[in-house]
Amino acid sequence: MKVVHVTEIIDGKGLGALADSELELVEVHAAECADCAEALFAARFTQGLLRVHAETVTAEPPAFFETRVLATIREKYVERLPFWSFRRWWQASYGMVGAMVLIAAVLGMLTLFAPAANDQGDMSSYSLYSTEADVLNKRSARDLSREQLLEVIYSGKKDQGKR
Amino acid sequence: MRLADEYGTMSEIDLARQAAGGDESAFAEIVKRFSPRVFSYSARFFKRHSLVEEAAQEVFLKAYTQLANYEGRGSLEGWLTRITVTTCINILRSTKPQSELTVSELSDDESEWLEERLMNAASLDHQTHEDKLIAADLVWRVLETLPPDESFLIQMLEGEGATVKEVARMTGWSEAKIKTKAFRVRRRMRESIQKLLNAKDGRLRKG
Ligand SMILES: [Zn+2]
Repeated sequence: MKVVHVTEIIDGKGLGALADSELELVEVHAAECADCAEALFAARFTQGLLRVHAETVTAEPPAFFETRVLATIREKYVERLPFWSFRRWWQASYGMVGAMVLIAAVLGMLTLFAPAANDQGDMSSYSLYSTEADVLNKRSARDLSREQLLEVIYSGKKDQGKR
Repeated sequence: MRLADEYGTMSEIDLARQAAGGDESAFAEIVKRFSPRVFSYSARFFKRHSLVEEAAQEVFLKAYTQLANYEGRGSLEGWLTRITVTTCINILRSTKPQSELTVSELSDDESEWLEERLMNAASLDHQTHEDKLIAADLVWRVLETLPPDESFLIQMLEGEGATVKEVARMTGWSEAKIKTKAFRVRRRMRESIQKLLNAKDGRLRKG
């Protein structure tokens, strides 16, 4: 008759989880089989060792562990947030919002104090400058020779055409 | 600004929500509340306390970046336990397991302790605290020869007496995977101890 060893049962579920009938089968076989008796002894010894080990394995967090974790988080994530992080952009937007408020304030002041541009006519009088103003600014037209005057007028028209 | 007491009484889901929204005090409360558990699980993977602490730090950093994914399905404690197990396994995966422990590598204390247990019919009950530490050290050395996931599994199943279902909840592994791994690691661990016992027993008989 073929001998059926019981190491599969021993290692399969763990000794603690064996049903009474399974444990009986293991013990009856181990009484007759030296190899399985050795395996059963080693399995019980291993289980005992692991229970002792479990009793001794403890670790407590040190005092203020949460403070250390937060410090690491700030160092790692908050100050070097990824490009796509919402919080990074939120933080960066503080400066931008400030600048926008300042610009809005300056524009507001200008609207209050600058003269109002009412119609197109007024605007065209401001744009008169080009040729004539160039001449008037440079020196009096009377000081220029006819050729120089034509030259200035001509080049002014050329500039206007370019615009 | 909320009072510290308010965080202490806040529910897990509220804490998680606040922390995910950038409330640092809420996250500090999460660390405070759950770090004993995270340390206790990390300690199954690392013998040195400094390594346990490093791993626990890593766990909370990961939790911080993944808080938005915690949707309150299951407890925060369970969620953090799964992060702890995965993080520790990943840390250890890059280190090669130690080669099999032989009797010649045992310390004098371990050697003496084993001999005594063998002569006293291997009784592991009623041991002194010092005896327990020697035994625990011996177990560490055998556990270090195993892959980290298997080492954790056998500690939970045999050391803590956890059920397959409980381990499945802790790790997120399927019950079928746990059963297959459990069989393999029980056999490996039992055979390692058996070899040590045989070598010792042989020497005792010869001596
Ligand atoms: Zn047999």
